[in-house]
Amino acid sequence: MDFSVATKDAALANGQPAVVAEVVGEVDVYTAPRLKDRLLQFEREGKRNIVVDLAQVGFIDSVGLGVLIGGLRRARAGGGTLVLAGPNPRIRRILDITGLSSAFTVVQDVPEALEALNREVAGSKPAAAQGGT
Amino acid sequence: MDYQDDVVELRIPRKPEYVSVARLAVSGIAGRMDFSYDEVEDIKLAMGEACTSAMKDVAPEFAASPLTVRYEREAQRLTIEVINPGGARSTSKAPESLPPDEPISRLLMEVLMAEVDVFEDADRNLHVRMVKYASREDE
Repeated sequence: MDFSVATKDAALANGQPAVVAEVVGEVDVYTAPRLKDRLLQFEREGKRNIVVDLAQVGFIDSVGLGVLIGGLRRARAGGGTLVLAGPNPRIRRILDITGLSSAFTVVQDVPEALEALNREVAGSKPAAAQGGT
Repeated sequence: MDYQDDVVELRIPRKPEYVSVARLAVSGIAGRMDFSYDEVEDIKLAMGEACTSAMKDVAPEFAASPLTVRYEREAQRLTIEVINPGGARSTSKAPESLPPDEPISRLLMEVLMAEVDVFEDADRNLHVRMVKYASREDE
């Protein structure tokens, strides 16, 4: 079963860097650590505005969801955010069941995710002024 | 057709890469019952959650013991049981030390399956038994 995370750099309207992680395959207890490593790498590189493209993900379990939650938490702590793009209806349902659809910004595709990042970053306060979630 | 004795048992190493094997097996069984596509996907996810929890939840002396996954098919009912040697709460981990995704895992099992029962036996095995009833009327 193939699993991969490809990374593509992007830029927001205000010039801030953004990054798109294109995930392919099933995100479960076996593969999720690889996604986590990539998100931790973004943190080390100072990339706080993140899109996780789930359009080619057919399955995600609680471990995968935990990795996404951790990525969102770290991105917000650094003054950015993490947006989910293109989840299939099954994954959207799992996000709804777990209540995570209200924690994440979930959009149709990557261009819409970058627009959402533009809006959220433009409207955000400096990291030091943000409360934890 | 009589499915009274249709039981499939699978023993898988306690390693993350084998959780997908348990999911695939249940997909093959549930896919031949009167479950919709979405219901089969629900069962696969719940199956994976039960195995994943078992992987992380074991006393050290049982770390090399494989998990047993038991699938029991009846006409309109599928029962899945994951038996985790050494997984009994009293011998593995205190509840407060459980991984942070454990509540999500349990929530998914509870929502996606009709019945979820977690119990320990005298041999320190933790059993997660889940039931789903087939009721497809659309095909």
